[in-house]
Amino acid sequence: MNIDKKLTQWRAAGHIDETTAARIAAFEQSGQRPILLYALGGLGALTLGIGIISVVASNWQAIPRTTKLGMDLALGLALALALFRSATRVQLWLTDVLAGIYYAFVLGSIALIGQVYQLGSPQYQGLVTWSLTTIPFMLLVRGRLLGAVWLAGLAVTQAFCFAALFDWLDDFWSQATTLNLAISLTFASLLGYIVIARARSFVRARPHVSEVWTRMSWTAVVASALAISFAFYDEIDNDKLSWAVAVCGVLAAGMVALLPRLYPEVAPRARTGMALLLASVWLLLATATTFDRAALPVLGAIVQVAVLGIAAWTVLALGSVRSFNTLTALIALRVLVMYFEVFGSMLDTGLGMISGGLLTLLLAWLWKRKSPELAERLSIEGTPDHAS
Amino acid sequence: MRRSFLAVAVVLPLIVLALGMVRAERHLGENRRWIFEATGYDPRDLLRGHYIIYRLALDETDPAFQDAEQCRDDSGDRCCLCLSAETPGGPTKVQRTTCEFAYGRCEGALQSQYLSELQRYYIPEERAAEITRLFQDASREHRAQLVVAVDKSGRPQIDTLLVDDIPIERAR
Repeated sequence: MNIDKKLTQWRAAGHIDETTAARIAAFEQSGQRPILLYALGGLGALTLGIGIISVVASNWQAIPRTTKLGMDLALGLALALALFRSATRVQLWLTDVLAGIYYAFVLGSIALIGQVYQLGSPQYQGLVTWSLTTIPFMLLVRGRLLGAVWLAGLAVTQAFCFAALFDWLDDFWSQATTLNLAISLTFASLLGYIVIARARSFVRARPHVSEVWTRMSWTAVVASALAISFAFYDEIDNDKLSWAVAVCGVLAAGMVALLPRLYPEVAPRARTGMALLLASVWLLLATATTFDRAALPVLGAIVQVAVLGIAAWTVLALGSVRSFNTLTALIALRVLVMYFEVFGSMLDTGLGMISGGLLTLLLAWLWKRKSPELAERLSIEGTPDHAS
Repeated sequence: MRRSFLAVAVVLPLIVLALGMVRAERHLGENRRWIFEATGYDPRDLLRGHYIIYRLALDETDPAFQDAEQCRDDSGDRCCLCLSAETPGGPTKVQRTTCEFAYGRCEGALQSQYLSELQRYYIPEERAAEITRLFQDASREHRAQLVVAVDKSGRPQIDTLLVDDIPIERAR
């Protein structure tokens, strides 16, 4: 919402006077400036970091090995000192920017050592070194963007480690055992991120990072449910997946039980939505992948719409109108795509598209009609936008 | 965050990076070099970055190793390549065997699990196309060789890629 435009409109309509408009504008600006500043700082730090990695990747030959590595360490030391200085002087924005640059710099330096010494070690080793050594100083980060990048880095590292681990275990255990373990550990780690994001000390010390981690973790839950439902598009002849379903069930139930402690401030119906999302992941895992059956593409598509519907209902209960709008649009898009998937001949496709188009227009009309109403109701209620 | 913890937090990555450099330098400085023929250039590498991918042509025909214990990687055994060279700096002959046998009886031992780490060589961006062409020509004519430093535990580290006995970065 463009607040200046709205204030002008409200003043013209006589809803507020000039003093109130000035006070609202000042309040909004004081809240927005750090967000923009941190976002720009994070963006700048990332751009610089990617630049460093890109220069490293070019593997320039003109500089001798010792000079190249010496320069790398000198630059690292300068960054470390600058970060230490800014953190001890509590220069929050500068600390964020420097931590972001240093984060990318460490990854670039690991790649540089790999290039210079022609190390062919598996990628997960470099990523583990990067993630473990950077955790302590990344705890200084306060901005949302860098918080998101940090979580993405950790998740990528974890994915590479899991891939290497399961590949290695394949030599000792049966494929079925490895698959069950892979699914159980992946689900457990996803829930682990949700719990870490809501750890009391983390929320208190780094509210913005905690918020973005929460958003990303729950997005991953929804994405998992959507991804599993694609199994309905294939014929299933399962002889591998077994005890992972039970393990995931126990984990999901445990997580549902934890929800009131993790989110004590949100509305109970929002927690119900979260519980439904977790249950969906488990239910889909149990039904879509465990039983022998023919391909059921229509069911898969309907399930995906249902999952998006639950997610939309949950974010609405959390008071996030923007997320609700995005999910509503995704539902409409999914319904439209369904018609392309389901119908084959020209006539069927044509009829399908007509009904699909009408349905989409109906959804759009409902959304247009109800969205301002909901926004107004939510803004009056003042429900916080915490965990959408 | 306390100052001491903060100091450790910011210096830790540098210590680890420096240790990585020292370890790699020591590996190259202290261990014997073995030479393998590099062949079978993989053209897909150009899509993935500035390195070339090849495979090692391992000469496993040396009758001197006829009594070596048989070992198969796919059966989960820990296998090594038993290494020998008729002359220092000459081509390496190998025999796949158990690591126990290789450590006790061979001139050198290379753990076969690390072979996949020896099949990539980083090259500078500005000469990537030229070096790739050079390597393609050399590997076809058996003139490309990989020099590898192998430590006592059987862990290898690439030293250089040679074309006509010249490091490929300097070859024209």
